Amino acid sequence: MSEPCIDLSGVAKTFRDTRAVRDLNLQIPSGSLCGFLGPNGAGKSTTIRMIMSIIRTDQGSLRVLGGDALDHKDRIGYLPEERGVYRKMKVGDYLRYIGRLKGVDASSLRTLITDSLERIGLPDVEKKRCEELSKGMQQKVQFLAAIIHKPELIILDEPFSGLDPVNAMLLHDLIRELHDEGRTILFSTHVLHQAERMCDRIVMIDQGTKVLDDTLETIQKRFDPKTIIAEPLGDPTAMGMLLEGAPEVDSIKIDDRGRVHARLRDDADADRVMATALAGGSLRSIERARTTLDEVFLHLVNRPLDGAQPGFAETTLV
Amino acid sequence: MSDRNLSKIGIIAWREFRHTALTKAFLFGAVILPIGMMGLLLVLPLLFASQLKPLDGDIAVVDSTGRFVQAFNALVVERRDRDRSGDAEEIIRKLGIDDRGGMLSGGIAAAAEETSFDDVTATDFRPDGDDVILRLKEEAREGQWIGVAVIPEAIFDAQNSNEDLDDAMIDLFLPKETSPRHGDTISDLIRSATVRARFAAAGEDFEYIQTMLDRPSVDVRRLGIEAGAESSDSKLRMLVPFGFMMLLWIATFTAGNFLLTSTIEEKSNKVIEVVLSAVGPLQLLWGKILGLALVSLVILITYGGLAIAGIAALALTDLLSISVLLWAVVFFLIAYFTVAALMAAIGSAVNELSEAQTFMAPVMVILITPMLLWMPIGENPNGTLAVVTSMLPPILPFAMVMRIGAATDPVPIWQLLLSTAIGIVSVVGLVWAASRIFRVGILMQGKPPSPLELLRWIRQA
Repeated sequence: MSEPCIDLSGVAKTFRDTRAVRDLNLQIPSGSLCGFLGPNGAGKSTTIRMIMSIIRTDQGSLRVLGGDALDHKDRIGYLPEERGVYRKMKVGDYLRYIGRLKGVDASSLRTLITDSLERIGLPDVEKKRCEELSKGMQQKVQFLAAIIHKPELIILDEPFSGLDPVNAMLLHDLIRELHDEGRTILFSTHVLHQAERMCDRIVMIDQGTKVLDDTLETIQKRFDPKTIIAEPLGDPTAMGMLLEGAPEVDSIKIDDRGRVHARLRDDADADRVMATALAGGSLRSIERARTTLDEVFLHLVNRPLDGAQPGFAETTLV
Repeated sequence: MSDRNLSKIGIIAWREFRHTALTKAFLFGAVILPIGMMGLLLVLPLLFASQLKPLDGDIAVVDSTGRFVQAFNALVVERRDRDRSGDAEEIIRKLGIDDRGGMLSGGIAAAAEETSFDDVTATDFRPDGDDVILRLKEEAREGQWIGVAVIPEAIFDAQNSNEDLDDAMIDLFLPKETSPRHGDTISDLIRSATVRARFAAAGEDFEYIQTMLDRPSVDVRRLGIEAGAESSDSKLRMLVPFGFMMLLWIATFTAGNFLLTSTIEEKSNKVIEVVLSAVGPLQLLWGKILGLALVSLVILITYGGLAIAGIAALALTDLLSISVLLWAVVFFLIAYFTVAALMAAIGSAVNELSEAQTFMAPVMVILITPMLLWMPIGENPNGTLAVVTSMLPPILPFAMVMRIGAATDPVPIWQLLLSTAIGIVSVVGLVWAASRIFRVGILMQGKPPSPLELLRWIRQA
């Protein structure tokens, strides 16, 4: 197995009396697109700043791209949560400055900047001062500054915050493109459905402690609610009684909208239950319930992992 | 430090220089304006002189004794014929300016000639009741006279007591369009002519007494270490140390202030973290310090160049030597890095310019001290106070440039070397402490730290 792109082992950081990060172990494989999730104050930005060697760890070891991030700054792209621009600088000059600092030679920067600005939908801003741009436009310029040197590892702290849906979609596409090119991407976000749509790996932290770290596929299996939701055109009670009689079904619940929720046993075959429902009468819809990352997030953040929550099955994978 | 890291420092330094010095505001305010002002200072007197018309015309004098007009006309002739370039030379010589070519005195004399009086005469009238005065005043309104002076008889009588003389007053009537300067000239001529008339009334030879009372000139020359190496004693010599110190002050504090504001701007704009993702805090600090050192150098060259040009124009180059200038550069570097380290530390510790005032106050109190030392160091550049302050960081570079600027005897070389060594050690210490504060403070938001917290940052960073 290749060396992880980011490898944190027992990392901790304390600010005065606040323990921002506690004994954090984290391995981000090369080439992955990893969502770094957690509530406000969970320690995401602190962890990212430590990964970037902007602040030092109090304890533990931290390796980025096989060494210290300070030695590989030119191979890392970083969009901080608290980001800004030199307001009086022209956009082109700003990107040129950051590009030069990141090791891009001046001759290739000219076309690179022009092409990149076109790609993010800002073809005419190169000669404008940064302060003349809207906040959303500035954010896109900041994103461009983070990736102008085509880094191997891209770390984005809350990249979607403050963006309208159109620009959020543009950024989503850009991140996917960068991932498809083989770059490793770690981004923190509160927009969990974005992470769910984009990531192949999810890390969640709360109060400085990691509470979840897995592939999206595994998480979906782990937090599968094992429930079939059928919406009959006829009497929902009859459909409920029909499904309750099926050996795969553990319990039945009918909601206010007349939808029948059939909770399955652990080893149940969902397809057979769906076939039984379809045979029992006309249906408006039938689907397998899915747990969203929002639900997982709330579940993990509000309640300890070893607790139980009604209607939320958590499968322990062996 | 690797070439790549040095290259990053260079990139930061160039940005700082470019966005500070290569701006219209800076070029206008710090380069073009001082050069323009210096040009104006040279040109304005000639411009003003060209605008002034010489006084020309006749003054009606109402005098019962008839003594005044003779004295007045003699005075006018004497003043007009006096070699004014001689006056100018005397003034310039007293200032210690070597104007052997006579260019400066010639210019002043020409200007004085242009602005003085041309053909002023006085016409005598006997008082014949108020009718004469009323008529003359009416004629003066019509432009026939440039003034009407009524001289009381008592004013010539030397036997009168001082009080009586004081009470006796000359009435002078001028047309309303008379310029204030012409009014003053007429008034001055009348007063001086009155004194001459008094001497004449007493039977004394005024010109003889005036010659006797003239204080002779003294040509003071400073003896050099070697025989024959004499230099003129210049009053401007006292201005040289002040000029050196102010030059250093302006160059270092202007650039230091730019460093402070640029650091605060990067923090408040939140761009600092983006930059720190590409470079380390020490690289950023050094890039900023070196970039603004170039800005400081531009200011130093501009103002210093103007000063040297002025000194050369006045043929006072013996006040400066190459070694003095080289030492000035050494102490400029020490002064700049001292101020820059302080400003960078303050800038990184605060979030807004207003918060910086708390830290700036004690720094300014310390660094304003050299201004108070100008007179004592200028008077005695090798005295105990001068020697001690020139070894005392952080004011040592300012004190030492005053010493080397003021010294009639050269500052001992061991003192220069010791001061340089202390300066370098203090700069290293200050930059080290500033870098520790910078490393912690640059990402710190919220309430600015207390001085005790700054000390903790230095220990812990």
